[in-house]
Amino acid sequence: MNTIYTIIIVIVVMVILGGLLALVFSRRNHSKKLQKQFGAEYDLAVENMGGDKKAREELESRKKHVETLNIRQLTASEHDRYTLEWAAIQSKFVDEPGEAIKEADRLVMEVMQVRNYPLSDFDQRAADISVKYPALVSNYRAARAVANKNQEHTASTEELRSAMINYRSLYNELLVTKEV
Amino acid sequence: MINDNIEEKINLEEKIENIDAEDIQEMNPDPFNNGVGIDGYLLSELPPELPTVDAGIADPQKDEVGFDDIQDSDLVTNMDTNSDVGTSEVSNQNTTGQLISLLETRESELLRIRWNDIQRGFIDEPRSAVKEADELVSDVFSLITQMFTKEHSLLEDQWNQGNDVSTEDLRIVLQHYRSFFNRLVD
Repeated sequence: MNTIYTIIIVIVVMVILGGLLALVFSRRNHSKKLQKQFGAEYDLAVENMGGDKKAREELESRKKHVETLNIRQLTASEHDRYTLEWAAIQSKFVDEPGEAIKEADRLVMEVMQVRNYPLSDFDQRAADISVKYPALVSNYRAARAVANKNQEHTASTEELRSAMINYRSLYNELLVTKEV
Repeated sequence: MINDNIEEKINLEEKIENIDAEDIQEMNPDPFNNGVGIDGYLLSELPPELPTVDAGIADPQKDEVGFDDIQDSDLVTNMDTNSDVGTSEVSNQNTTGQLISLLETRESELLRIRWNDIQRGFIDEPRSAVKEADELVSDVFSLITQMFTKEHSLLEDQWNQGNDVSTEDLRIVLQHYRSFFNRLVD
């Protein structure tokens, strides 16, 4: 009789242990997946939210949110139009770097809205963009930081130039129109 | 996408080198509606600003007879009444300036496209952009020099070739020189 009890207890313990392990592994898996998807943005979230768990929750909620948004690609004519608009501000930089930066920021926002990202403040925009463009969101944040500096007239032309390039990196990706 | 036609740059320098009287005749066979109005003014030749220039230059509206009375319809092909040799050659060559302006317009379009590319490229490579701008400016400069030199030599050919040049031809050539002079001075 004792043997049977022992066996039953061992099995139960193993099942429990197994369950716990599975839980731990799935969490780690989940973390890894999110880390892979979000890259540096994951680390930023950990820092900002104060911990792995909260970071994971934040990023998951971002993903869910963006899924509900019905983001679309640009049409061919929108693509052409926005290509030309960027070329214009890129030229404008030579005459008015500060203005060019402002317009770059505005153009990125505009294209996002045309694609159905909702109108919102910068942090929300960055959060939204991080889901589909995680590799570029840090460029976006860096560019925005320089644009803010520019508002206080403390940005050098070289910083503004880098910011243009950062904005452009995201902008070009936003414009990508694939054959479906 | 925007820069495709940069590939079709006209080699203007070559074109200019090869301009001769026949080309001008070909390109502009009948610059005037009624033929080559030799007797009267070559109306298209007179720059509008002329009368107000320097006192040293003859005021065409005073010295030339009957200017106001000459209409386009008065200009007829007077080749027969003028037995001077090479007259038609001379009058056709008055379009040198026009021809070169024509080339200028097309080429300046291409030059502007080149400039726009340079300006647009600044944010990627600021130093290169400046270097290219310098090259472009040099190119423009040498192009202008070449055009004016060519125009000058074409003008010279109009009277300096040793054949008998009538006074009438010389009169017309001097008008061409005046046009050229005005363009330079302006």
